Amino acid sequence: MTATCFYSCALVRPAFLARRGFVARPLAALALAADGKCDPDGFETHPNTCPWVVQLLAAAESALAAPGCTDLLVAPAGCDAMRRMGDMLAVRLGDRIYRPWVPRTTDEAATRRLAKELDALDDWLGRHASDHTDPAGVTDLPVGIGVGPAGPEPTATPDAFVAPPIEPRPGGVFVIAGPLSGADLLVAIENAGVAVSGLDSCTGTHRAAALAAVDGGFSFDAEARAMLTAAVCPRSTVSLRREHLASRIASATPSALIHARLPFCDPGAYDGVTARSLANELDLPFLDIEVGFPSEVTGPVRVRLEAFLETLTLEDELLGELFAFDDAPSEDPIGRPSAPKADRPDAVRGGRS
Amino acid sequence: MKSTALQSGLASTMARRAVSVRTQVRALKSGTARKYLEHHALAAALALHEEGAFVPWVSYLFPSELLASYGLTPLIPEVAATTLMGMDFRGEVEVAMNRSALPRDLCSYHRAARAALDARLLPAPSLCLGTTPLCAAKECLLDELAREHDVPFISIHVPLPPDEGPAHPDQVADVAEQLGALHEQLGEMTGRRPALAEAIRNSSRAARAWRYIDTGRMSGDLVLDGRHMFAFAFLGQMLWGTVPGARGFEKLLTERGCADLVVPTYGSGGPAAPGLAWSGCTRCRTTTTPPSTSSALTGEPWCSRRWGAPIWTRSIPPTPSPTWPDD
Repeated sequence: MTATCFYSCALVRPAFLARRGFVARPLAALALAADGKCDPDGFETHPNTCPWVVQLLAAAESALAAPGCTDLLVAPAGCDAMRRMGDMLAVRLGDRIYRPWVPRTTDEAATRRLAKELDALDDWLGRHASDHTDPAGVTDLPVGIGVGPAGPEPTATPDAFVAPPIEPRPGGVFVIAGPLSGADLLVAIENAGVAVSGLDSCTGTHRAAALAAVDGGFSFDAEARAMLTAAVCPRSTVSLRREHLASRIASATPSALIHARLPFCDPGAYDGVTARSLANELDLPFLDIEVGFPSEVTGPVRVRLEAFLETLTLEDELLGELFAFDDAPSEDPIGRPSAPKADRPDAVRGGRS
Repeated sequence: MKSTALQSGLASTMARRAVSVRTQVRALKSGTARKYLEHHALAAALALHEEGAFVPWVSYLFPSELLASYGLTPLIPEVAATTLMGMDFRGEVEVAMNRSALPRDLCSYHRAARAALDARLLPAPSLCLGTTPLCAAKECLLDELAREHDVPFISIHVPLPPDEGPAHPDQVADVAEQLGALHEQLGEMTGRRPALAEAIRNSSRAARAWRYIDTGRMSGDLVLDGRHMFAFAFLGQMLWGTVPGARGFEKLLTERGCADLVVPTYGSGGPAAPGLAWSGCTRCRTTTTPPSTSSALTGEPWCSRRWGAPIWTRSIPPTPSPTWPDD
């Protein structure tokens, strides 16, 4: 039985932790497995804190800071909230937490600095690997957290939610989101009769696949380059993020864009600005919604979502018939050229949100 | 002066001069460091509205001396937002903030600065300069503004500070190298000749004065109105490395210079402030930045009645020691 090294966000490659003999598991697995048993209100977090970070902090405090637990945690400082979470946990976990810095850019200098950071992280993992000959610590998680013992072999076993693969479907909705706790949002869109044509999220298959696919000989430079290339997330520079999103949207050929942001997420807020400007450039209807963590698509979010999705289909079903009564205009009333319906099987242009 | 007149007139030289003269008269009448610094900071900020002005939007942690070396005034979004919200422009900024696509739970400094730019109350950037690792939101703001206005965004990578002790010399050297390269780049962009040594001398003068005052404050010998001191240090960032900046801070060392900052008595009793747990304290003190638009806590009169004055402490003091003594 081997020791577990948790990681707090998908900026870390599980395989990097596994090569030192640890079972790499996302911290979100603890949060989700706890299923509400970790009371986030019981911890010293400001109410205006990202709910994802609050949940991770609560799970880490309950499990990793429990007496006897020897598991490790790698908490990259990708954003302010994560950095502060790492600072808070460092008080409780001492040397059992490592807080690498992750740059916003992918230039050579940034890659070099990250490579040095990874080198130091690797040293830290190596030091702790030798301390973990006794496997007892791995199973010392408090009752109720619901995380079982780690597997028998050193391995990378992401067991938090990862969105299912999404085949590009022209005419559907492209979703840009932060971490998702489940498929609620995607299911709600599908249930409203509109296809999901793509997803860009740190809990999406695309990210997981990109992070897993590093071939060739190991070097810290290569590892750093792979991380920075794969993990283009809201923390990245505007130009990198725009380029990344534009490419993903182009490959999915959607008819609309939805940006789902976590409350109190600063990088997410500016990511919304980027998404909105891309939607404007591509002339795609756009909806910006706020989802929590764990995400539940209920109440106002569901109403907004459904209203937006209805506008995508109403034009064809109702407005088209209305216009047919008059001297049928060759273009729509606000001057947009009509597009062949075959290009958009699931949704057509609607109002902006 | 009515805000509408100011708004429409900020682009006009006469209106800017009128505002500047008003603060200059106040500074001359009072003879205090606060009014002096306010006048010069405002005058420098208004000059950024002039046609052809080079406007660097910078992080509040950026070393202003690099800009002062070329005679440039930094536009610090947080300082600009606070200043505008404290003037007649508040209404216009709030209207623009309500129109903004940025979510309401985003930092109010940044939302206000962004809205003020959209409302043409702030000049557009010629260059955006950031710093890591603190406050990812300001990096995002500056980066986004640079993209929108098609100007460069340059960020100085500063590693996470160690929990204890000084940073590793390699890291210090890395930051110094980046600053040196940026200083040269600024020269190329502006076509101006640098005067870095003079900027550093001025900055060190201000830092020495500030350190003297801060020592007095921390020992309890000198009790200053924290609300005004906060504003003083906040505005002071715009002028670090300049002659007015050095003089402004040095004026604090005279009795007349800090006359409107010294609190003679405090803790005079009275009813406890609603919702505050520390109503029995003789000083109201925090280690964080007060909300930029909230007068509920910092405003007159109840806070001052209860404690004499709120004593704010900035989380990041301006240049705690003389900067760059040799290099």
